[in-house]
Amino acid sequence: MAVYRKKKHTLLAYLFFAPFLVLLLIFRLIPFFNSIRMIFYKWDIFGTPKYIGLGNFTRMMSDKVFWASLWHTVYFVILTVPPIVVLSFLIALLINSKIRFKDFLRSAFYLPYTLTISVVCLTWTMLYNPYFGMIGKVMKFFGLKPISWLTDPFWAMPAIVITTVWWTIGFCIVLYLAGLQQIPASYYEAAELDGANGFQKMFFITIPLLKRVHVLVLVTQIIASLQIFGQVYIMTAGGPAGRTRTLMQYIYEQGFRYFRMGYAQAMAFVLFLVMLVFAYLQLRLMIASAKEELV
Amino acid sequence: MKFKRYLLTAFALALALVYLIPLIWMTLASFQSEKDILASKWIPSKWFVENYKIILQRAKLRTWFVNSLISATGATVGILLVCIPAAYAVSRMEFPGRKILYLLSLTGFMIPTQAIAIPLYLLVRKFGLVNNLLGIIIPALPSSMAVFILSQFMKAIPLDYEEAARLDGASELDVMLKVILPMSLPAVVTVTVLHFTWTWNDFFWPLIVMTSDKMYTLPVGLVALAASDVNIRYGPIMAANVLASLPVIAVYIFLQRYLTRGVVLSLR
Repeated sequence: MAVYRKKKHTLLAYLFFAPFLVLLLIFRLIPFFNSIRMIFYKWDIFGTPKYIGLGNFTRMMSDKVFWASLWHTVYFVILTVPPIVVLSFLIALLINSKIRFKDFLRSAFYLPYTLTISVVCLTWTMLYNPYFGMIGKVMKFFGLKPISWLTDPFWAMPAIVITTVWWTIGFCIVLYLAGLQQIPASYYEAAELDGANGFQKMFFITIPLLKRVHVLVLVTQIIASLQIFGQVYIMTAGGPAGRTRTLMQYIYEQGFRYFRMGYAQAMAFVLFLVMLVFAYLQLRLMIASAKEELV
Repeated sequence: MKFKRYLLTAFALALALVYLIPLIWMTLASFQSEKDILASKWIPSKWFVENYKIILQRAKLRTWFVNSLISATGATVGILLVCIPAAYAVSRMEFPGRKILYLLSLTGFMIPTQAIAIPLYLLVRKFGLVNNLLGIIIPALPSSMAVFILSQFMKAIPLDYEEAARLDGASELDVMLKVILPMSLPAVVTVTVLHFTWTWNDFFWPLIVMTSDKMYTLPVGLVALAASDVNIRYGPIMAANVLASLPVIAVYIFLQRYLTRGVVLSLR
């Protein structure tokens, strides 16, 4: 009888899991294996795919636009991730300190993150406008010469970075706040009894105990930044003179504008390999936190 | 000490104000005439509601709004329907292969949509779901994030509740729906808020799947509108931005307390 019950139980568990599994297979795993097959083919979507071995990769090697796009992606990550980590940590510390209106402040800093990328980018495009944009007006007020942010080859990428940091920082603040709330107050009290100053408390308690959150924020932001597409597509379309064209923008152009499916997927595969390192770290982190929960 | 606290509060509020300037400007500009905007004004010289009238008369904007609403709601409800039983199975049932299935459910984290966009697009096209809201909804359903958050939460619920219900003759389905699900509400709300806003705000996938402007979602439509229509300039676009932002802000304000709790708990 017990065996029968157990069997029924197992069957039911599989039944509960089945819809998710089937959808996962069809919409994640099969496309993933297809993506690996596609990188060996030349295909313009209309004709039949032609096997070309590593042809897509040799082409990539000599494609200057590919290398420029790869560099712009890395450049974007380098410019975006450090300010996101540092600023979100500092703002979370501020909100978590002994101040009033905490709920309001948390919501205020989270608000931009709830907005769609189009709203964010269209608004910032107008703020950056060299003729009537508010940023130029403020710069003039301080005696600075306004910059034509999005059409200047040097400033276009930093402009996209500023918008991105502003847009995404709220989510990281929430992660840091969650981490800060879990540090027992007794640690600080004990440190105070030993005569620790604020600086020592920060560097010997707060920062080390938030190690997991630092890594989580770092890893998730690197993954997100490597995939940057929308901001570039909306604000500069890759310009001026291709100076903001990131890998995802180039993949989109090759795949969905010129229908070079194999080539575009081969480049997406390179991006995937770069992301894989960080995605693996993220998964490790999540499983580690899951295991801690079981203890 | 008290003075220091006031000073810090004042500093935080000032910082928040500066941080929100782009949104404040967006809202103010939505009430400005083109002349005011081109003259870089903060406060409109006359509150100009025309922008909203112009943008609301656009039949397409309404269509995009409905498209966004259907796809975000559909994806969220679908994710809950598919992921709650899956999370329940891997977190509260004992069966051979449980660990493998749990790890498999997390593989979605390793395969971002952008890495498989092209084969996924070809698959969706094969199913005839291009220019169809189901082309947005169905690929979103197997969410590793949803299974992760839900199963993390469900694992932490003590076995006693479940056993008491079983003694009263509850079936497995009863236990899931009447015992575990109500107790997992913060996790369910977290999954709902995250996936609703993610789908509502997604730009990349709808841009690829929707080729006819009648099928655009709000984010894709707004960008197309700003890029294409010379008659609709700055003011009406900002009005459209305000209108597009209201639903997600409402969802956030309504559910924010649960959200922070859910994030805290899944971080634990």
